[in-house]
Formats: sequence, C-alpha cells, structure tokens
Amino acid sequence: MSTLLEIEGLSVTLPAGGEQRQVIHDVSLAIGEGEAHGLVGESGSGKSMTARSIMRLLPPGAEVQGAVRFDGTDVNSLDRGALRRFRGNDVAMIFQDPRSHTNPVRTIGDFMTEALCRNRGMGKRDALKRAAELLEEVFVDDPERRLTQYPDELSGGLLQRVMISAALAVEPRLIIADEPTTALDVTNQAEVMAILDELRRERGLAMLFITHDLDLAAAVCDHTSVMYAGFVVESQASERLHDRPRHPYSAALSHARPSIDRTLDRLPAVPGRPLSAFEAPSGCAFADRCPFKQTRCVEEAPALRELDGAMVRCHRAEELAETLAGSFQEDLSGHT
Amino acid sequence: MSALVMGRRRLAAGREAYPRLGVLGWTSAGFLALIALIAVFAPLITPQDPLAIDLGNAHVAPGTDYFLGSDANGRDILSRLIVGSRTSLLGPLGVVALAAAAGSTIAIASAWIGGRFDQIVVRVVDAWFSFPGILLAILAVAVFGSGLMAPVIALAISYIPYSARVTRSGAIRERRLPYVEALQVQGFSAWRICTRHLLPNLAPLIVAQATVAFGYAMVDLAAISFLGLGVQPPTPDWGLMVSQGKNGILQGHPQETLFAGLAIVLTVLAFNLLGDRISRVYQERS
Amino acid sequence: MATPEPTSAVRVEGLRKVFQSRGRGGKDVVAVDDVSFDLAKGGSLAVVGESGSGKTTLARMVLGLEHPTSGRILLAGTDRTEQPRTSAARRERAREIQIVFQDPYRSLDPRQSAVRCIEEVLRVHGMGNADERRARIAELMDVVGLDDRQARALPKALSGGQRQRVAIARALALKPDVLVLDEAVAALDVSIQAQMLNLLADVRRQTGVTYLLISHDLAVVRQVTEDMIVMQRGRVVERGRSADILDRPQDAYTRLLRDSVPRPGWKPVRRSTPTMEVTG
Repeated sequence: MSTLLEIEGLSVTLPAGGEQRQVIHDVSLAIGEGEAHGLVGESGSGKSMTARSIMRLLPPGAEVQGAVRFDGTDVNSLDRGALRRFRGNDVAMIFQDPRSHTNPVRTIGDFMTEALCRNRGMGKRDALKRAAELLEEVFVDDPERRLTQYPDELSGGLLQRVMISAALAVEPRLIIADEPTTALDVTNQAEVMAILDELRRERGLAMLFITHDLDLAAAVCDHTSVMYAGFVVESQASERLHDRPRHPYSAALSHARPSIDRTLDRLPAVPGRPLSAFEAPSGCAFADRCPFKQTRCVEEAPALRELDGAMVRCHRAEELAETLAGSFQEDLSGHT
Repeated sequence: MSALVMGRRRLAAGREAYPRLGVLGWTSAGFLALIALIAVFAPLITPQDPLAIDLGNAHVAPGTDYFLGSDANGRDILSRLIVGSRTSLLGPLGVVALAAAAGSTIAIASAWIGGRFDQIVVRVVDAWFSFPGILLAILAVAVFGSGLMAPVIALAISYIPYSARVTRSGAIRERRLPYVEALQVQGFSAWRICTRHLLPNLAPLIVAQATVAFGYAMVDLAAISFLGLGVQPPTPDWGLMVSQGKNGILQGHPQETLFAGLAIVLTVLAFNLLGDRISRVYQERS
Repeated sequence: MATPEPTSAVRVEGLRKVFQSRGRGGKDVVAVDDVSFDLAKGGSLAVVGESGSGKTTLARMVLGLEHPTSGRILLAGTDRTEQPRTSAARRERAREIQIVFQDPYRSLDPRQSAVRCIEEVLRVHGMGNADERRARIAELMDVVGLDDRQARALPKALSGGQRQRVAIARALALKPDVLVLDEAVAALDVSIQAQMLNLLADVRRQTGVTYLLISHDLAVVRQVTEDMIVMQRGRVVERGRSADILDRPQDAYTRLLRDSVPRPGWKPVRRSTPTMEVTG
C-alpha cells in the first residue's frame, strides 16, 4: 500500500491577541491509498486545524512548519493553479454543518452541478443527469425532484448525503470528513456513515475522519490517531486501540464514555478540562490530568515513538501497557 | 469549491472573538470626548466674548487676532463655535435619549409579548417611518414657537421607529436564548426579566443605534437652525452659524460657514464611526 | 378522577400538543400525542427520542413554558396543567421544577456571575437574609465543585463544563423536587461529560431530587435513569426499566435506535429503504 498523504512534523501557530499561539505541535501521520484514518480528540485538540492545514485553509497570519505531502508533492509548495486543482480534484471535504456550506437560495441541482461544470467541463444537461445518478448512489430516492429543491427543504441527514455525493462527484482520491455526523440523529448517523463507508470502499478512496467519538472512529477507520492539546498522543490500528490503548489519555477517553450495555456506579472520569494547544505546559501536555504522572512527565516532554506497532507519546507506555488494557476488567467488576 | 471558501471565512471570523473598538473607533471616541469637554467648560475657555459685536473687525481672516477669523458682526468664530457646541450637542442628545427610551420600551414589550401584539407593533412602526421628521419639526415650531424644545421633541418622535426596529430584532434574538427561559422557570416576573436581564444585555445595541442616530439628529437640527426655525440669534449654534455665514461666502469670507460646517461634519463622522464599531463589537459578542 | 399517589413527583395524563400551521395550506403538527407517565419522587425517568420526536415539547409543557392542547400535568399531586398567571403561582411552580439546558454557552446571563445569578434567584423568592443566602450559595458551589474564583467569574471566563456546573447550581438553588435535564450533557467533551454524569449522581444521592432526563443518548440514559420511555413522532412506542429496554428492546424503533449506537465491534449498517426521513 503506497502512502497517499503524509504529514511530517507539522506545527502551526496562529496570531491571537498580538502573539502567535500554537495550535498544532509536531503532528505526523500517514494515510495509505484507500485507507481510512480516524483523528479523535476533544475540543481544542487541534484535529480540525490539522485537516485545514492539509487543505492549506488556515486563517491569515498562520505560521506553518513541517511538511504535508500528497502523493509525494509538498502541498505547501503548490502555486495558485496547482493548489486549486489539488483542492478541486484530489481532495474533497465534508463538514459538520452542511447547511452553512450550501447557499439557501440555490437549488441542490445548482449546487451539485457547479463542480461538475467547472472542474469536469460538462454541459449543464449532462451535469444534471450525472448529479441524479450520483444522488442515487447515496440512496436518495426521487433524485430528479431533489435536484429542484432548496437546502431548507431537506432534512439534515439527507442534506449530508447530498454533500457526500457532491464531494465524490469530482472523483477525489482523499476525503476529509470533519465531524460529518455530529449534528445528526443517531439513526441518521448510522445511515450516513454506512453510505460513506460503502462508497469509500467501492472506489478505494482514502479518508481522514475527524471526530470526538472514539467508538465511531474505530468502527469505520483502519487506523486511529488520538490528539490532545495539539499533539498526537497515540496512533495505532483501530481494533487494537480499544483493547490495548497505549496512552493514558486514550484509555481515559474510552473509559469515560458511559455504555449502553452496562450501568456503572461511577464513571472513571478524568479530572480537569481538556487543554488547548497553546496552554500545553513544557512537559507532557496530559500530565496534569494523568493518574500515572511522575516527576519526569512534568519536566520533560515525551516524544512520539514506536511501541509494538503503535506510535505513542508517553514516557511510561511500556510499564503501563498492562494497566491500561486491564482497567477494562476493573470497570466490568464495577458492573451493577 | 465554494464550500471551502466559506469554511475559511467562517474560521477567520471565529478567531477574532472579541474585537475592540479599533483605532478609528477610539479616535472617534476621543474626539467626541474632547468636544464634550469643550461644551462643558465652554465659558471658561472661549478666547473672546462670543456675543461681543465689533463691526470694525467684521470678516477678519483667520490669524493671530481671531484664530478662526471673525463673522459679519466682528464676533470671534472660534469662541462662537466653542459656546455653540452646547446647543449643538444638547439638541441631538435630547432627540436620541427620548427616541431610544421610547423605542426600546416599545421594542422589548413587543418582542416579549409577541404574537398578534408584535405583528401590530411591526405594522405601526413601518407606517411611522413615513413620518417626515423635518416637516414634523417645522410644524411643531409653527404651533409651539421656535427654540430648541419643539424641534427636539418632534425629531425624537420621528426617530423612535429606527430605535424600535433595531432593538426589536435584538430583543427577539435575545428572548429565544435559553437563559431567558431559565429565568422564566425560576419564576421571575416578565418585568424583572425585561428590565434586569434583557435591557442590560441589549444596551450595547441600543447605544450603537443611538450613537449613529446622534449624527443624523445633529444634521437635522442644524438644518432646522439653518432654516431659522430652531435656536434663535444671537445664541451661537453650529447650524445657525452655517446659515449666517452664507452671505460671507459670496463676499469671499467663507470662514464662518466653513468652520461651523466642518465642526458638524467631523462630529457626525465620529458618531457614525463609533456607532458602527460598537455595533460590530455587539454582533461579535452574540 | 383518580387521585395520584402522594409519592408521585410528575404525572402526565394523555398529554397532547398541536402546533397550528401558519398560513397557506400548511398542516397542523401534532408534536406530542397522548403521552402519559408517572414519575415517582426520587425516581429518574428518561424521555428518549430523536429530533422531531416531541420529547422537548413534552418537557416544555411540564415546565409550564408551553400550554398543552389537551391532557393533564400534575406536579407533586397538584394540577399544573394551566400555565401560571400570577407571580405567586409562578414562584410556587419554580420551587417544584427546574431545568438544566443543553447549551452551556447560552443558558447563563452573560452579565452575571454564578454568585450574583443565584443570589438574585434566592432574593426573588424571599429566601433568607443576606447571610443565609451567602451560606446557601457557598453550599451550592460546594455541591457542584466550583471554587470561589469560578463562582465570581462571568460566564465568558468559564469553560463549558464549569458553566454547566453553574447552571446545575442555579437549578438546585430553590431545592426543587424535580430537575429536568434537557440534553444537559450532550454538548460537553467526553471527559467533562463523565465528570458531569458523576456529579448528577452525587446530587441525586445528596438531595433526593427527581430527574426527568430528555436525551437522545442511550448510554447517558442508561447511566442516569432507572426508567425510560421511547418517543417517536410524538407517541410513546416503548416504556419500562431502562436497563431492560436497552438489553432487550421490544419495539422495532427502539431496536433501530440501539443498533445505531457506535460501540466496540459495531459497524454502520445501511437500512434497506433509501429514505426513512420526513422531509419538507
């Protein structure tokens, strides 16, 4: 499997209140052709900023270090035209709130054919025909009628499916999905995720899937990275992340969620609140909230390193391996 | 891809969470504070008697004797501008204070009660807009006699719908916020919620609207003075000075009209800029 | 008319709410249709449903923010179907039932700190003198875990989780019998959500308050409540013990809801019918 997207040592600062504030610290990750990669984190963790750095969609004044390579080419070296082709043809983005990314006074048909006409040079009539086929692929019934409707007339789940089909219309090689189902009801979330997953696999598309929901990422992604305060703290195969978390934060994140299968007397909650990247202390960013903190954690920032096929940013990853995996058993014993 | 462009714009707007008034806003505020100070201390700082007629020194050009020159009656223009700032500021202040008080009362009541009452208020306010303020003021002067009071009240009435419309839209937005419902659930009376919670939270919006309206009121009152229906000579007033100086222009002595006009223009400009900045700060906040 | 048991905190009977359409050929919307439940004092009931299920309208009626088209609402045995008209009636109801909203950013007056906000509530209700009120505020801050600095800070200086603690303290100020939790943890980060769920459990243990949880999140429902009703398009489709329903859902819609929740080993499954949604 060849690497399609490679982020190496990416650090980003943004201007705020007269200074440059760090939003991403030394992020590295790689997505292979046709691979789905989950990026999980709480608010302020830098997951959306990472996605925007890939598209070079950072606010003015942003300072970027490190490399973002798409198919071997550094995105930061692209000129205007090449950047437009990259954004228009190679990568597609799906957002949390589809309604704010559509124009309320233009029909779904207008919206969907715009990219086809411009990027593919299609005529209006062909484009509309193609758009109807595309809508059928995302299981929208009566697509011809939908094309004449306005965004307001569609429910959130349906509109998100329209966005997916519009994103796929240009036949990109990578999809960046930024919390695409967070605003949806749970049944619609399952439906939209199933459709996205199916289409992605059929076409062999790579995907960067950004979410706050560890279980959702694990369900649809081959590989998952967990971010905290602008750092990637852990990155490994999704199925192993849940049973064998390597970083205390990932373990805490999956334990802290209540479960529909059992009631706990108390949830194992992490104290404190998630830090934003610019608040990160000089040592380990998670140290303050970590139950396994030692002096070293506060004094020295851990590096991202490999451990049993996983990447982890924790001084004590080896010695904690059993504890972190084992705390699931403790949870079960608290079962009421 | 239009979606991407929109995403970037939203992001950029989101980053600038608490913009301050900015250079223009602060400059305007400083300028207006200076004018206000001048108005308060006017009698103490006039270089000459603003009412002393000296026909021998009529139409003196700006210079060392008369910093901004003298008018047709030989009175010092700078001194008259300084003293004139009092009526010129007091008039618009009266207009916007009355209009904002009445307008926001109507607006908050309308937004709170809602339903049919709100619909009627909206219609009435729409119709109200067609009242020509200046004509109403002229009518008021014809009935109640000239001076500051009649045109101020008349203009205030014609300014109410502007204040009411802006405040109502803000009040309707505010009323839908969960904190207002929480107050209702706490058993607070409508009066208390409106006066202690809605009104203070809408204050920046009301002030922003009043600030912009102040500029317009100043121009309107100057126009009324210019027509000779407002403040009467020999009381110094900027609008009146523009009017009285117009004969001088033809004789090649534009200083009175020019400097009085400049005072009006700069003050109005400052009010507009400041009002604009305040309303932006309010919008960013909410 | 059956007299409800004295232990009932909230009892609704045949509640129905129809929203009349505004003008041109629109249909009336039946938001809540014949809903009944009885929530015992000290109990905890979840109303579960997706958007458009009517769960929020149901809660608003119980709170007196919306008037039911028909049916009855009883709080602690007293008929509260009518919205309160006098200020005395409003305050009386306020001491019976309170709410914590979903959005921690907009459910607090931006100009009031926790201390000032709760002080006002206590003052309006004529609770104690200044010293007693101060003591009660300190007690509440202790319950929700806010320190003195946070208690005096304006909402904009607080994080989402801290704001939600303020909202909980405010709701508890009058020692209400019932707390309506309207998606009260849905907008919080996972690690904060866990803290808040533990706090809600502690509060209930300490005060014996009754919870009416409005939620779409089945895991949260299981953690917080003993009983639940499932609503779909305004009607109750299933009711019972939360643990039983989540372990063995009977109704097809409840099963669909349960199967849609991501969890370890879960894969999203597309339903056979392309569109199951109601669209405009």
